[in-house]
Amino acid sequence: MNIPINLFMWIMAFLPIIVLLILMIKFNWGATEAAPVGLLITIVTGLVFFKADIRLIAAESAKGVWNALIILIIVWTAILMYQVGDEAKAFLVIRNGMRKLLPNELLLVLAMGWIFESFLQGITGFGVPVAVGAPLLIGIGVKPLWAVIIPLIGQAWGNTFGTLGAAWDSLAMSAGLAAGSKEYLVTALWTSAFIWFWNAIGGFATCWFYGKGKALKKGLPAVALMAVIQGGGELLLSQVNTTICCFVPACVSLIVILLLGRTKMYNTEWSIEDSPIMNREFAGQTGGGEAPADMSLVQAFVPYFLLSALTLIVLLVKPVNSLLGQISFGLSFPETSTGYGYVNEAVESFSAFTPFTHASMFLFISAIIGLLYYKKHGWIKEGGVKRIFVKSVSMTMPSGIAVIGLVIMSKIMDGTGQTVVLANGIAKVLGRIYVILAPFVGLLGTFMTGSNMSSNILFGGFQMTTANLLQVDPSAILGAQSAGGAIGSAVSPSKIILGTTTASILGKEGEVLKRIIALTVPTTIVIGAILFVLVGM
Amino acid sequence: MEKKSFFKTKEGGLTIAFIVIMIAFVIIMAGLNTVNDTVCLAGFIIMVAAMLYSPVKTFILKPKK
Repeated sequence: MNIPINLFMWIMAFLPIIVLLILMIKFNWGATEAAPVGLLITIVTGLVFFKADIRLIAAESAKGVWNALIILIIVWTAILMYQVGDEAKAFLVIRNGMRKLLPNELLLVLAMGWIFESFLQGITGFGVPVAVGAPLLIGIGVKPLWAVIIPLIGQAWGNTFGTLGAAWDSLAMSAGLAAGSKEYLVTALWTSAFIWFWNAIGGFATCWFYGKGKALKKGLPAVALMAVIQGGGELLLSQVNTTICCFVPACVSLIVILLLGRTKMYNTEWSIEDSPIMNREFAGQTGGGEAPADMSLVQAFVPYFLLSALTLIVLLVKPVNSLLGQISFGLSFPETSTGYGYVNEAVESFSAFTPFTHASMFLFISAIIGLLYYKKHGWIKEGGVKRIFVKSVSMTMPSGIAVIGLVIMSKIMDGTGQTVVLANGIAKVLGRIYVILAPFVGLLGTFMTGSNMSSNILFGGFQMTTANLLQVDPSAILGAQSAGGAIGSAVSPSKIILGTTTASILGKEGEVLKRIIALTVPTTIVIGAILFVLVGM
Repeated sequence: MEKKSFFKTKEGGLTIAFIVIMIAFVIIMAGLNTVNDTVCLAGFIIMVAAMLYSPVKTFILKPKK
């Protein structure tokens, strides 16, 4: 590869991202409108300045469409599951039941917006916690905008070791870390330490959003305990088994928060009346109506219990996983290269889709069984089944264009070498100061690709090379990369749009992004500064 | 109240755009498999045009007042 890495090329590579950010944050454009503009700029810079030919751009676009389709299947099935609950008015039962179990409203918000999302992220991932969590929070009276923001922040810590360690495995793979080796364990330790920091920040931020200092004081013991269980638990377990080191603490925290609701500190009704995130005139997302009197809280959660059980069985029971994993299909792509000799190797089966072990299948089966279960009990009324399917499709389509646009954009940036120029440029100019920005690069990767896993694949090797060049501990840099990538999942437009879709505030992605970016970017810089003090000086 | 046809709503328009992108995707794949750059180009142009439906419709055809 001989792409010139200079300021002009760096600006050209950064242009699509900066335009996307300006359109969404400054001009409040929705992702459906902003993503195609960002894509158009990426295509022009790719063709004109990075010497890509039409074959390369078309191939990368097709790869992007394929990846986006896989994401969109998850979006549709998550929305389907939500529509099933909505039609049966299960969210009203969940709201009422959880309020009884957790009379302290702050604890309720923490449980439904942080702890439950952590649990979902531990097993499913791919944006499911955001898509599922937003309507649940609306169900307990949180304003739609905050019902998207809180799960985005709450699920982020689980992005590296969640989904049974998928993103972590990709980091180990791209950086060449052998499982169980000293470097592997040290990197896992750094990664989980940084994630712990973010995990605590996320909990405290949720309290702050709910009611500033007063809520922070009230929520301090709960958040501290949850952070110790989740972040601390993950740190310890990362030295034993990286596959379940997020899922196990997430499950424990779910049980502990319900027990916390019975302690003296949290077992009485408590709320901040003028909380800026709560909608006090809330009459139910379903447009009002009464919760079915004969539906218990456990029955309302049936699809979610099914989702957890199915996911665990299929992903953790090896024989079941290997049997179902046999059916897999991907697309083949030819080798392409730019005029600068940046090569995208030919692939036989690109991004193979394994339908029976995929999160969308778990969501789909849970939704269908949940639908049949609710219907059997008479909670789905006449015409309800048709309404569920029609609404789920019409809610998915608008987010489809944005997801496709964003994924194609990241694929073209990657395939034309723009991503490499972006990262190399930062490292070349800054020298050892780069250490401060190492987690930010991870964040940028997830922002662009929508996945911590993709960010690690994209930048894992680069971070390793840069650390060696700068003679800095590579384990620490890789830890910062993946932690930054996890944090980045809170600002990724393709994840934000999942929440705005299920919260029915499509087009407000810029407002969501604006609020979360104010928390995530400073946190990554703080992590970078800590890292610089520890290993960079 | 007059009921608006689904395909005349924004969601409907985006659904059509989505379908067009899927068709373009198939055309691009056909072009890549037959090593035909013209077919790739045609598919790619169709895809970009469909992608631009939303910003064009929102900010050019029906700009905010």
